[in-house]
Amino acid sequence: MKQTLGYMLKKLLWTIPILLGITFLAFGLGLISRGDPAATRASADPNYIPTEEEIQALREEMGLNDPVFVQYVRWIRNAVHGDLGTSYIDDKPVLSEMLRLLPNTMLLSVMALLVILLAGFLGGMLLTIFRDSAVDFVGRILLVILMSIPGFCLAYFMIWLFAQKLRILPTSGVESMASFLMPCLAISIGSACVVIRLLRSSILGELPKNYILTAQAKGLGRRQILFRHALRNSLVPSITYSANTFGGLVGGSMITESVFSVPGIGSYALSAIHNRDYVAIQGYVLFTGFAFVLICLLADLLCVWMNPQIQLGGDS
Amino acid sequence: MRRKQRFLSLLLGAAMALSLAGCGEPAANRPEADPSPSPSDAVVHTSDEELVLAGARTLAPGLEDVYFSHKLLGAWEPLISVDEKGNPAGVLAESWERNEDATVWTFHLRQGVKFQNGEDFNADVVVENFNRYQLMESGYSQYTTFKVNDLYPGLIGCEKVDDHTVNVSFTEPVPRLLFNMKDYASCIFYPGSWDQETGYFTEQPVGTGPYIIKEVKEDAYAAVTAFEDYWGEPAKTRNIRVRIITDPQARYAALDSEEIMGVLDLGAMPATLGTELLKDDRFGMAVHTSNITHMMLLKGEDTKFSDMRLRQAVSMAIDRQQIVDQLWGGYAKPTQNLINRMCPDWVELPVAYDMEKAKELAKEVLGEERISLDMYTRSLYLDRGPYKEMMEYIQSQLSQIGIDATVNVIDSSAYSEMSKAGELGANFMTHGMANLNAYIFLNMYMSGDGSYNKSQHLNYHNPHVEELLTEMKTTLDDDRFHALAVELQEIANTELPIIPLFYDTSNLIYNKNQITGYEDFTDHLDLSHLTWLGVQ
Repeated sequence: MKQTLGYMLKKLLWTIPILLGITFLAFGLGLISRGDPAATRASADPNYIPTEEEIQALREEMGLNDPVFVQYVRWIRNAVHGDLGTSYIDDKPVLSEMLRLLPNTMLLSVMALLVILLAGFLGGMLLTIFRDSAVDFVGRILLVILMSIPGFCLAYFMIWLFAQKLRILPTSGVESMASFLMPCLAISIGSACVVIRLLRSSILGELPKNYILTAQAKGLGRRQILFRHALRNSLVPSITYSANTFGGLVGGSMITESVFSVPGIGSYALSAIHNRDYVAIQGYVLFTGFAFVLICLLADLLCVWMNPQIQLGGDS
Repeated sequence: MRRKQRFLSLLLGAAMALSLAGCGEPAANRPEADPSPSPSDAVVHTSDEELVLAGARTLAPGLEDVYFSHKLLGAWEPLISVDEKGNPAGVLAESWERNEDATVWTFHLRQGVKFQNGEDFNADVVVENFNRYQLMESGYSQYTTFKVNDLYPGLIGCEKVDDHTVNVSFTEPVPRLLFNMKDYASCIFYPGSWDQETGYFTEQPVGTGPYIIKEVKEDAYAAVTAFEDYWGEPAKTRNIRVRIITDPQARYAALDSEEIMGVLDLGAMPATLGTELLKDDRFGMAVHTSNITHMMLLKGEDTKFSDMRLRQAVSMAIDRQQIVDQLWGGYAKPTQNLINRMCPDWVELPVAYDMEKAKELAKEVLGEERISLDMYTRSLYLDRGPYKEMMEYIQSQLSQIGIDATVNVIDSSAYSEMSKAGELGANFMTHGMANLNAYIFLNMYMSGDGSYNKSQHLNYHNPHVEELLTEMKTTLDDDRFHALAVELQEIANTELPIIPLFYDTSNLIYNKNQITGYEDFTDHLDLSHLTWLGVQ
């Protein structure tokens, strides 16, 4: 327990320089990119050309005339107090906008995670049980095909099939739970296939090991050996992969959210990048960085719980 | 082994078939789609049934926008709009007159109008709204910026004469005020919903329009319901929802699956997808004229394009009709005129395509030299039409007259900076004539101090044009104003300060088996006219 707490603390402390580095990079990228946020804000109406005075006044108001370091430190200080600033483009507070959009992204991510875990577990077990049979062969080919299809292609294919042809799911939007099904599948199918393959190969890697032979010698059944012994020890790579994927999903899936008109963190980031909205980009990076590190930490702890032989912190 | 190979081939074949099926052949091309009646034929609707439409952007941006919602939603109304010919038409103002020097305008307000909160519309309300206008030096909106100094130059204020009459006074003559006041510029809301220092809304405002905004889910939809006490013709459908579907392919799918009944607003349906949908009998298209012109702006500052002959050569090398037919599905009108056809002062002028003449003119300026030209457009235009393809076509045409052009797509931020620095050799863009005052539009491109002339580094200058513009600004004689507008259009058509390409149209696809009302007007869509077919 003490070791676990120490590990958590160490990991959390490590997140601080990582996040600082991420924000610094994000800030730097914004600066070297072309485009003046004040000019972009002043030109929101494409039919209106702002005067130089108007742009200068906006620059002053937005604090863009301050030295870069001052801007950065000011932002970090406010972020510590829970203020991620207001968007350069529409004046809306970044944190409240992200919190408004977060439920959609979280719902989508959790649904996708469930699909990944469920399909991964069932598929992996199925292919293991039927290893080297036709089911295994066909299944693996199918997995390769599904993994090779880009998410947005899958998205359009599902829209065509489920919305246009079968008319059983809405094409887009967030007006009902059914609206989330297709985006969820679009972002999870590829990862689920990876998990199936990972789990299959992990289990097959465990089966020749001595403890399995011992279990067989003791007369345990095939099912018991697979589920009680081999599976538990084979889950670590799949859990690590799923956690990494989930971490990425919490940051929003830009293309999928855009195709299915899901207002979420990903579409917010896409719009911020498009408009050079540094403040929103920084808020997004901070949020996703923090979420990713936290989720990976939880995954590490889960792996230790699954397999106590894993030593925290890499010490053996 | 052989069995395994055969099995593998079979499997790959099945996978390929699945992939090809996913490519999505249009509904109308499938044999089963044509002969049998479409699924919508037998559908019976009730008058209370919600009619769902979709657009690419929100029609109710909310408190941050000085209008709260797009005019299309019908939640608010202006004092003045325009008729189908572009002439001023009263909405909440019934009639008007002005004094001799156009410094005082008197508006007689419509009587019997109620706001959606039950309060009366009267002169006090109009005075309060003008006070709000004065607060907005540069009111932010994603539709059109509210610039009080441009719309109401020298505005002193608005005074109540009686309950249904107001006087609006100016320090200088504003002869074309009615054009400036079109739609957004004279929006009327019930007082109390805005900040008294900034003019921005602090709560959802109340208007007088045929629809009440009952729910807005940000980035998802806006739902409206009919206003029972509306002064005009009541809305034909009680409940309408306008969804935001950002992806054009998803809008196409939503129409095809009858999840939505129509599309609306800017870039509602790309021409290629619209053409596919129209192959299906269920769909119709309402083609509305638009105040938007697509154009090409050539940087004249320190370039050979300061020579009128080279601009003419570029213009003549472009076959606008081909662009319209091949890329815009024929739903646009080629033009070389600076002014939009919706403006009442617009005149039809010839559009020239003559490659031989273009080559001659280019040779006069360039000799045997070839010059390079970096052409740019903003990425936002790619959603509104095949801009890149159009630029590539123009690139190939220009190569024939000695201009080696590049095609570049940039985002809005880079555009702002490059535009400011004068780095856009040619800029492809659209410009909507938000108000139909010809002077404002001609001035911004043709005057030496014109905002677009300067900001786009056009470097166009003609002393005679300056004289005409000066007279146009102050003349109180409508006929003289029109004559000046015509003369300036003719000069622009020859000297080409910019290269207009074609007039846009709003091509709105709708399910004609299920709804009607899309084609009731030729220049705009009015939600209150939409109604279900076969209402029970």
